[in-house]
Amino acid sequence: MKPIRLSLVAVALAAVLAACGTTSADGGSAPDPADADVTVTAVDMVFDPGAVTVAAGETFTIALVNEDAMPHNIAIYTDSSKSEKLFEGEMVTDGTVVYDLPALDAGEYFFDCSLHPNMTGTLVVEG
Amino acid sequence: MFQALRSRTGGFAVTSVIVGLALATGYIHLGLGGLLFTLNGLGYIGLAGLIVIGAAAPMPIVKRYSWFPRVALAGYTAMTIAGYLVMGPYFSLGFIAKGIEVALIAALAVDVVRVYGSPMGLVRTALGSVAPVLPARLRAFASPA
Repeated sequence: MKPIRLSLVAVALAAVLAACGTTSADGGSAPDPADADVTVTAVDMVFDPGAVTVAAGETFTIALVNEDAMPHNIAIYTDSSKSEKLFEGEMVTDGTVVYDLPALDAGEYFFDCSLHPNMTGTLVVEG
Repeated sequence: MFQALRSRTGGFAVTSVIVGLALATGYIHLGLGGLLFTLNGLGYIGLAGLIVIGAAAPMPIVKRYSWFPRVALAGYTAMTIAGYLVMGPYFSLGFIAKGIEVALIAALAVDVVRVYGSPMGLVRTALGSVAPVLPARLRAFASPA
């Protein structure tokens, strides 16, 4: 009886841990940067590359690979005045998150890290 | 409750809680990177140091001004919370830090009542410590330092 109970506990624990590893908060999904349309790396408090390009009128994904020890995210605005926020992704610390983004019209958009406004980049949406 | 906290052990416990909470939120802020958060974290660590000095140093001059680190840390914490509410960003670690900071202000309030009897007692003591440079009208209100 005891080994069975132990196995059930182990299975439950594994399920919880698996869920923790793949569940995401607002704006993120299971971290698999290979499947993302574009990848942005946060390293030494800088986004690399500083500009990424996606197609207009189609939903797309951005993988954020955070190589820093502090949390980062990507927040997208219509322009650098940050008057209109289009998207704000969840924070990730020393790991990867893939954001699912809505279709955007052609144009240039501004993105930054919500915690570190000096980390900026440009999202180019081509029609 | 405050009677028990007025003992030496009670004072040590309250001061330890205050210092622990200040160091905890300071550590979180240092881990966020960037100049603003780093300075904020260093501010908490510096003020925690002043709280320890104010509580432990036997010199009369330190005792006289031991109200200052309490007021400074409470004000600093309140400003940090206000800044977060205005600017965000709102995520789990941010909420944890704000929870710690609210607890820190509560611990400081307990400490003020423990040491000075009431917030007004702290004001009187603070005015008393700077009485020689106060106008006569305020000097009458101050407690002797």
